[in-house]
Amino acid sequence: MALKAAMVNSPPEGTEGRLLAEIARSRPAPQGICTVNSKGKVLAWSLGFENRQSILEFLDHVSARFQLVRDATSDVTAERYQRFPTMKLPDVPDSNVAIEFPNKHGPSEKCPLAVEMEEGTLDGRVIGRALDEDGEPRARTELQENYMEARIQIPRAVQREFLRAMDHATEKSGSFTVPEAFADALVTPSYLGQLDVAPAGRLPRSVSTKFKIALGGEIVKTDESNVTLVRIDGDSDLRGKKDPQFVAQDGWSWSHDVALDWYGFVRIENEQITEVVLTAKGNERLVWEHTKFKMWTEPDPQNMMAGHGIDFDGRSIYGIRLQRHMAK
Amino acid sequence: MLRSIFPIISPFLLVPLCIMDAGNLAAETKNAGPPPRAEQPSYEKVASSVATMKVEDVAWRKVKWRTCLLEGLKASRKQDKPIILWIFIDRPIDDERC
Repeated sequence: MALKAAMVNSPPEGTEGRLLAEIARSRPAPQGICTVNSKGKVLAWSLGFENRQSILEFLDHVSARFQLVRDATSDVTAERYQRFPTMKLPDVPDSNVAIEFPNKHGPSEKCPLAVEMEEGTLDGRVIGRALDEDGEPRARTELQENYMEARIQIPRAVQREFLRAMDHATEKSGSFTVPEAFADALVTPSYLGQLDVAPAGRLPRSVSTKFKIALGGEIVKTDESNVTLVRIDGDSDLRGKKDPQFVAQDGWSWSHDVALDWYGFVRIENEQITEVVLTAKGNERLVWEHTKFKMWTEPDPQNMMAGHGIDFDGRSIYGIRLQRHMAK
Repeated sequence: MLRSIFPIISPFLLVPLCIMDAGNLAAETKNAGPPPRAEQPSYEKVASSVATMKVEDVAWRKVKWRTCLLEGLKASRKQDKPIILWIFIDRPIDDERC
């Protein structure tokens, strides 16, 4: 079960908000692995593990504690580990406040943790693959530098910009420039690796050294009177890196260059965008490391929040499919 | 990075990682330069290429994360098991990137 840390740090109102606030009370960091009993009382946190075997031992440890306090609402001490089991942090005693909660949400009640989406939003994912020297997709797809997926949503307001640009397409060629916001939504999430290496350079403590997105649209005739296709063609070149002035402060260092050629289509039915399909291919250079952590040699679980070192220089491919979201 | 760790705590550890054929796109990538306009892929071909890129059998997808805390607590009581919470930052709860 996954919870957004933003909600753990700023819990919503209501029953779940109170449960999240109780969980957050003992958090050692804004992100990590937390375990709770059936009443929402924290059993143990851990931000990392000595090795892979230690993860299993952590689960055994938590399961054993659960057997003792499965339904307890008081005197449940929250254990905390920087790294299980070798680096323990101080325990946090129970607040001894029992939080009453129902079995489920009422029929007209929405879960505050659910993701809301406006009807008509274009919703879907970008999928990216790193290619090996033979041009084949790299294996070990559990690693984001080899295989990535990310959510893309384009709100209706941005879609309207696209449709307006299409309306103003030159009469002779039927071509136009894809509006900046629309193109940005497609291109900027398309990169390998974790969130922290976004090449657009918009993250805190990062800089952009090059930002070029040039996508054009060309209206394509179809056999269906209510359907218009727009062929998308163009290229992008995003280069970002850690702001050098902060590398000495926190030790993190990364750089990421992604240059892609784009091709695909936007489908419009009855004057509404119903689908986007796009592919991209190009070159990518990604380096992620830490000046002190032994990210190249230590087991991944030891630096669970930061992962291992990455040094990728090769070809990559991307595919995007977005569809119009309809309310249930 | 968490998701590179989590597969090993799932019962699916022994499932071999599947190397998917990413369709024609990878093959096309070997040949630099855009094709002539007449040979450019159709809408259907692009959609097909995108569809083949998704790896269904990727290890982290097999952990069935819940999103409602109340449902999780109910399942904990029913199954007599503790809950693991993956606390992460900023992203929508159903986003794969971390």
